[in-house]
Amino acid sequence: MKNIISILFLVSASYYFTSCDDYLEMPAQTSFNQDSVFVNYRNAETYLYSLYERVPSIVLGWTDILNGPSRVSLTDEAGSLALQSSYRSHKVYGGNVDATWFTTSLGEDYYSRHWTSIRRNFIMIENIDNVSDITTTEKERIKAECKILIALEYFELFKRYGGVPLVKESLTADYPILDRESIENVVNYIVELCDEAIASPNLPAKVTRSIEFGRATKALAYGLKARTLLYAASPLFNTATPYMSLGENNKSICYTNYDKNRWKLAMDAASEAINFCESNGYAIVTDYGIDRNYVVACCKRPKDGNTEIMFGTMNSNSSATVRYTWSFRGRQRGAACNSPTHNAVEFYQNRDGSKVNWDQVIRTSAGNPDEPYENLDPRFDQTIAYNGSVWRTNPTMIVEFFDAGEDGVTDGKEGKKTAKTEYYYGTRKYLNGYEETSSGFLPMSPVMRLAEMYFIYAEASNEYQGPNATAFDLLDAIRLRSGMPEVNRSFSQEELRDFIVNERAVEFYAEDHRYFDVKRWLVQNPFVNIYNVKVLKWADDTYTYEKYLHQERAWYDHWYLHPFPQAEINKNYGLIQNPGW
Amino acid sequence: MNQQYIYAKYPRIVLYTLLIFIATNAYSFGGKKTTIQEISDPDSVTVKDEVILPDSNHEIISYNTVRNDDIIKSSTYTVGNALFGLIPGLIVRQGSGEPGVDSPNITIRGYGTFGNSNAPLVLVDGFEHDLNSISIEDIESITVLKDASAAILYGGRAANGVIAVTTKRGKIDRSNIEVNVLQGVQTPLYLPEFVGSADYATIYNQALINDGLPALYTNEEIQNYKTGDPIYYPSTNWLDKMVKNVTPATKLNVNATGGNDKIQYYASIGYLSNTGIYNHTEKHEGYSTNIKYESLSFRSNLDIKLNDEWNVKIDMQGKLDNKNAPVDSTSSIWNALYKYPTYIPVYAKDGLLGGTSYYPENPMGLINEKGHMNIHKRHLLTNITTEYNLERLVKGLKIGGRFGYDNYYTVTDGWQKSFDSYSVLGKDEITGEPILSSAYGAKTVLTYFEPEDERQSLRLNVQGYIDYSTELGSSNQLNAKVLYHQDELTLGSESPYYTQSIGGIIDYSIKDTYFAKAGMTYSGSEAFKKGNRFALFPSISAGWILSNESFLKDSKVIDYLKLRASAGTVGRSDLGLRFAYRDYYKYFGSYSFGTSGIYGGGLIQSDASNPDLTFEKADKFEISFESVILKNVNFSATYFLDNRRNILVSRNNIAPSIIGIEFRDVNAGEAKSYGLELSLGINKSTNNGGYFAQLNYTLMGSEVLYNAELPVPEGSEYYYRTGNQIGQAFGLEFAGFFDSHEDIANSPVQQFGEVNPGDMKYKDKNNDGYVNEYDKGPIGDTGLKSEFGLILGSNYKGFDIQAVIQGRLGSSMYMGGYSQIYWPLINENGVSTYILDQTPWTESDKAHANYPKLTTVASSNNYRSSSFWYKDADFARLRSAELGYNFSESLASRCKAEKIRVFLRGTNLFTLTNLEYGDPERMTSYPAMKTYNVGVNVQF
Repeated sequence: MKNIISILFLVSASYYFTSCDDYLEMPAQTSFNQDSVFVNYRNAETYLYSLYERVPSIVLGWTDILNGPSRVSLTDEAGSLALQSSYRSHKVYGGNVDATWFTTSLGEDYYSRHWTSIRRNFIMIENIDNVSDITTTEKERIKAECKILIALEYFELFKRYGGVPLVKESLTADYPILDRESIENVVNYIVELCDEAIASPNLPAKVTRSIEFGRATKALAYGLKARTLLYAASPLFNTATPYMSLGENNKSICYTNYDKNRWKLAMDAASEAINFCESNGYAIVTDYGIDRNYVVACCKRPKDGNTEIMFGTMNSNSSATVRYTWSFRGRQRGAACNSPTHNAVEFYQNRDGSKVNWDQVIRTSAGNPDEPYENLDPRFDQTIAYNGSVWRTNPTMIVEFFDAGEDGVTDGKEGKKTAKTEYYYGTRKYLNGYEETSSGFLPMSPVMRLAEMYFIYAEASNEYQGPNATAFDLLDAIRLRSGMPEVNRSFSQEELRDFIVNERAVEFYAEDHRYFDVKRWLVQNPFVNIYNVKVLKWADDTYTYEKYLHQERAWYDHWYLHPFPQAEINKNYGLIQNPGW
Repeated sequence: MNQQYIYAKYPRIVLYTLLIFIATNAYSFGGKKTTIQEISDPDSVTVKDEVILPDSNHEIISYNTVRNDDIIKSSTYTVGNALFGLIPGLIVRQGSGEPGVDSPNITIRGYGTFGNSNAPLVLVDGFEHDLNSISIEDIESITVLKDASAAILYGGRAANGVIAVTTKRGKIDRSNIEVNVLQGVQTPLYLPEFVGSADYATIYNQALINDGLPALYTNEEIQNYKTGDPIYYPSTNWLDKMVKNVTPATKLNVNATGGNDKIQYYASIGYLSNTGIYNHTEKHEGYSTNIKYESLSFRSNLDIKLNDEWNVKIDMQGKLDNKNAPVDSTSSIWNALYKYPTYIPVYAKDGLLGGTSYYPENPMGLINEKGHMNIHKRHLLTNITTEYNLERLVKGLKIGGRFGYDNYYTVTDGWQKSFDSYSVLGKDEITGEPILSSAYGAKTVLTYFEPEDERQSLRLNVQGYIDYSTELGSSNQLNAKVLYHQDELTLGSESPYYTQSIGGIIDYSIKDTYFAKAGMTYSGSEAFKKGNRFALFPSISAGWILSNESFLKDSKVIDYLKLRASAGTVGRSDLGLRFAYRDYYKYFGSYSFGTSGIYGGGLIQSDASNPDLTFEKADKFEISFESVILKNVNFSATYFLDNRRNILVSRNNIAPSIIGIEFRDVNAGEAKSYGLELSLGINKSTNNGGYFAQLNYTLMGSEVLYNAELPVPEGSEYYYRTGNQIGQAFGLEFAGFFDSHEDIANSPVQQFGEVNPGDMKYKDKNNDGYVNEYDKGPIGDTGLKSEFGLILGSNYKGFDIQAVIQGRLGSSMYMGGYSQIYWPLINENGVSTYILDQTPWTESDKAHANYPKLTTVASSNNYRSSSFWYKDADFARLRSAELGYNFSESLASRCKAEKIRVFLRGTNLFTLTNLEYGDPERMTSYPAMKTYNVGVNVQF
C-alpha cells in the first residue's frame, strides 16, 4: 500500500517537474500579432476599420472634444451653456489658456493621435501585400486609401500647426530626430499623396456598393488636394511676413513670399475635382425642394439620395449621443453643448437677398412668435431651431425660447441646474427630422461635399482673376437649390470676397470649416463679440426680440496657429513651438 | 441558469465538509485516548512550536511573530482588522466596514516602490492564500518576514515582504473541544453631518449672490424650512433616516484537537453573520435589502504518521459565503446618502417617494426599491505535505513534498426592479392634499436577473524540499535546505499565472553564539520573455548572541543580547504588465461603413513591446539589536534600507510622439526606503497575576531616485517627483484670498479658470508671472512617516485586560479626497456642518475669511490640490480593548468544562486626533465600524 502511494506521488511529481521554460511559456496564442493580422483579409479588414475610426468627425463630439461641445463652439457660430462648467470651451472664451492646457486639457485636438494614425496607415501599406486571400486590385485600392488617410492627417496637422515633421514610413527608431518642415514641403507632400491615390487605377471614383460608403475614394483625393491648395494660397500662409515672427523658422509657419499663382493652383485643383466628380455620378442635390435639399446634402447618406457627399464619416456614437451634443435642454433633454449664437443667425439673408434689421427691438404681431425669421433663407430653418419653430416630427409642438417658456431660461427647485438654455437658439441641422427624443437615426459627419469644391473654385478664381462668370454660376447653383436669389453680378472683387465669406458660413454651418477658414483668412479679432437675442412674451401674446452683446471672448494673435504640446517640445528632437505660445 | 442550479453546488460541499469533520473526529473518539503522560514525546513539542518558515534557524533573520492569543484579543470578524499595531513595521490601514469587504490595507514597512503594488506575499502554512480566507480561531501564529534573508527562499515574490500564517495543528492528547461565541453590535465609526434645508438655502443664496446671480430662496421660504414641514418644507437628514446606529454581528467557532501517536487532528467549524447598517429595509415580503453577510467555514488539519520515517499532513479548509445587498453599488448609495438634497421629502404622499426630475432617485428608493442581490462565494483549499526521514541513509537528512490545490468560485444573482418618484408642486386648497408632479422614472416589478460575474479560480502548487542538519564537532550546527516551488494560478478566464523557483540556504552556528547564513534562489515568472524569465536572488546574514559569551553569561542585568546584520536581494514579478515582451494587436474602437449602422471592431497595434522586461528588485540591508534586561524588559532596534530598482516607468514621457506608438513600460525606476523599528516591552508577573506593556514604533522614509520624468522649465525643479518621498502629493501653495480686482490684476496670472475676489491666490513658485502646472510642488505629508502600536495588558486573579492603541504621526489628509464633506455645493454636493465653523470669504467679512467664497459653479481655480486643502491628520486610536474573566476551575468543572472564560471586547473605541473636523482615516462611502462584543470561550 505504501509503495503504491509513493509511486503515485513520484509519478504525479514528475509530471509537474517539467523543464523550466516550458512551464513558464505563455499558452497557445490567443491574440494577434503583425504576422497573424496581415495573413488573411478578414483580419486585415478589421485593421482597416481602426484606420477609419480616427478620421475627423464634426457631428461627433461629447467626451472627445471640449468635454461636450464641438469645435463649432470655439467660433462665432455657437456657444456652450455657461453653467455647465465642465465644458472646456468656456476657458477659451476667457482667454486664460497656455500651451499645456490647450494641448492636454482642451481636447480640441490631440497632437499625438495624428501620428498614431499615420503610423497605422503606413503599417497597412507596408504589410497588406502579405495577405494571401485578396486580389492585387483590392490590395492596391487599400494602399491608395491609406495614402489619402495619411494625407488627411497631415492636412489636419498643417491647418492647425503649420509645418510639422514629415514621417514617411512606420518608424522603428526609438528617438528619431526630425525637425519641423517648411509649409511648402508639407503642402507638397499632401498633394503628392493625393496625386498618387488619384493615379491608382484600383481606387474607385465613388463606392459602388452602399455597404462601402465611408471609405476613401478618388473624389476625396481630388477634393483634399483642392482644399489643401486653397489653405496654402490663403493669407495666413501665402505671405512674406507671418502673423508673428518665428525668425529663421518662419518657413514653417508661412511660405515667406506671396505668390498669386498659388490661388491658380487651388482654382485648377477645384476645377479638376468638379469635373472629375460630375463625370463620375456626383451632383449637387436638387431633387427635394428648397426646404429639404440642404439637409439632404449635409446629413444624409447616398442611399437616402445624397449625391453630393464626397466623404462622410460614420462613428460608433449613437444617435442619442449626437442628440445630446447638439440639442438644447428643456423638452429636448440635450446638453446645450453647442447653441447657435445670434451672430450665426445674422449670416442669413431674407429670401429676397435683404437682411433683417436686428439693431432695433422687434415686436411681433400677436400670436406670431417666428415673425422675424419667417422670410429667412430656407437653409436657416433646416439649420437652427428658434422661438416659434415647429418640431419636425410633431407639428403640434412649438419651440418656446422665451423667458419662462418650455425651452427657455427657467429656475426650478434645483436652481440653475434646470435652466434650459443660455442662447435663444438651438441647433437643428444634425437632428433634422429627428427631434423627437424617442426616434433613433444613423449619424453621419459630412467631411466633404461637392458644394465645397464650388466654393473653392469661386474663392480662388476671384482672388486670382477677380469676379468671373464661372464663379457666379457655381455660387448660384448652391443658392438656387435652396431658394435663394442669384448673386449680384456687379460685385467687385472685394464685394465678392465678402459675399463668399458670408455664404460659406451659411452653407457650411457647423461643418467644421469656419474655425479654420477665419484663421486662414487672417481675420482680425474673429469670434470676439458674441451676440444673443432676448425674447420676451407679453400678455397680449406678442413677442419682443432684443439683440444684445452677450459675451466678449478673448482672442490673441498667437492663436492663429495651435501650440504644440509643451511636453513634446521638451523632448528635444527638433520641434520648435509656434510663436507667442 | 436558475438559482437552483447555483445552490445545487452547495449541498455537495457542505456534505463534504461534514463528512471530513465527522470522519476525523470519529477516528480520534473511537481510537484509544492518549493520556497526559504520553505528551512527553519530543516530536509533538516541536509540532506545537512550529511556525511554518522555509528554514529552521530563526536566530538571524528579521521577523516578528504574533500568536493566536494576541490576535484574537483584538479581533472582530476578519483577520486583517486584528493586526493594527501588533507588529512593528506592519502597517495596517482602516478600510470599509461593509460586511464581507471589510479588510484593511496591509503593507510592510510603508512604501518600498512606486510601482503598481506594495502588497506583501501572504502564505498560509507555506501556500499562497488570501489572509481573509482563514478564520481567526484557526490561526496559531502570524509571522512577518521582513529582510531578504528571511524571505530568500521566496526570491522573486518577496520584494514587499512576506506574511506567513501558521494554522493550529493537533497534538497527542485526549480530545479537546473548544467553543467560542462572540456576539457584537457595531456602530459607524464616523459619519459626517449635513445641515438642514434652512441653512442649506441660506448658504446657497449666499453662493448665488457671490456668483452675481439672484438669490433663489425667499426669506419666507427659509423661514418655512426653519419651521419645517415633512412634505412641503422638508429638511430630510438622509443619513439619519437611512442608516442604523446599531447593527449586530455573531461569530461562532467550535474546534477540536487531539490525537494519538499515529494521527493528530485539528478540526474546526466557524460561522459568521454580519449585518449592514441600512435602515427601513425590512418592509418587503420575503426579502430584505439590508446587507447581510454570512459565512460558514471549516478547517481540518491532520498529521498522520505512516511509519517511523514517513509522515503526511492533510489540510483542508473551506468556506461558503453569501452576501445579500441592495442592487445599486455601495458607492452610488453612499454618494446619494451624502449628497441627496435635504429639501426633498422621503415620501411625497402615501408611500409615493419624493424626487425631482433632476434628482429622481432618493436614497430610500435606491436602497429599498431596486431589489436585492446575492453574492455567493465559496472556496476549498487542500494542502498535502509529506516528509520522509532518510535518517537511516544519511543522518539528519529529510526529503519532503507539498501539494496544494485550491478552488475559488464566485457568482452574483438577484432580483431587481425600479421605482418612480414625485415632486410636490403645491397644496390642493380644497382637499388639503399635496399636488404631485407626473412620475419621474418608471416603476417595475421585481424580476430575477441571471447570475453574472461568475468566476472560477484555481491554484495548483507543487513544492519539494530536502532538509539536512548535522552537528559538527560538539557545539557547531549546520543546516541546509533546498526548496523547489512551482505555482499555477488561473483567475477566471485570464491566462494562468505561473511562477517557479529553486533555492537553497545554508546556515551555520557555533556554540549557539555565532551565526551565519547564506541563501540563494533562482526564480522565474511567465510574465517575462524567455531568457529574462529567471533571476538569481542571493542573501547573507550573520548574528552574534553576546549574552551567550562567557563575559555576559553571568550578568545580572543583561539576560539576552543579540546583534544581527543582513544583506540580500529579493524581487517581484507581478508588475501589472504581463506578456509585455510580445508585440501584439488588439481590438480597439469600432467603425461603421455603409448604411447599416453595424459597427466593425477595429484592430490596432498595441503598445510597442518591451522584450527586456524583468523582475523589480529590492536590495535590502538591515542591522539590528535585541536585548532582554532585568528579566522583564525587552528592547530591540532595527535599521532597514530597501534600495528598489527596476521599477516600471513609462518611456512615453520621453519618446517623441511622431513615432506614432506608445511604448510598454521599462524597468528603469529607482527608489529607496529606509527606517527604524523600535520595540520596547516590559513584562512582570506577580503571585496573583501580572502586567505587560509593549510599544512598537516604526519611523519610515523614502525617496524616488529615478522616475523617467520630462525635463521641466528652468526654475521649476521642485516639480520633479524624483527626490521626494514615495506617495508624495503635489499641489499649489496657497497664498491667501484675492481681496479685490486690483489685487487680481497685480498678481501673477492664474491659469486654472476665472478668478474673482474671494478666490484662492497661489504662489508663483517659479516667478514667471503665471501660476500653472509648473508651480506645483510637494505639499503635505502624504507618504508614510511614522506609526506606533502600544499594547497594554494585565491580569489579576481571574480577571485579565488588554488594550491596543495604534496611531500614525506626521501624516496629512487631502480634504479634496472627501469633497462631499469639505467642498459644499461643488459638483452638487450638500453642505456639511464643517462650513458652519468656517468663515467663507464675503465682501463684508473678508478680513476674517478662512475659506474661499462660496459658489454654485465649480471653481476650477479653488477646488484643486493646494496646500490649503491639506490638514494634519495625526491620530491615535484605541483599536481594541478587552476585559475577560476566567471562572475558577471548580466552577468550570461543575459545568463539565476545563476552562470557561467570558469577556467584553470593543474595537475602534476611541480616537485622538489633531484633525479639527472629520475622521483621519475614512470619510467616504461605507463607514468603518466601532464594535462592542460580548463573548465566551469554553474548553472541554
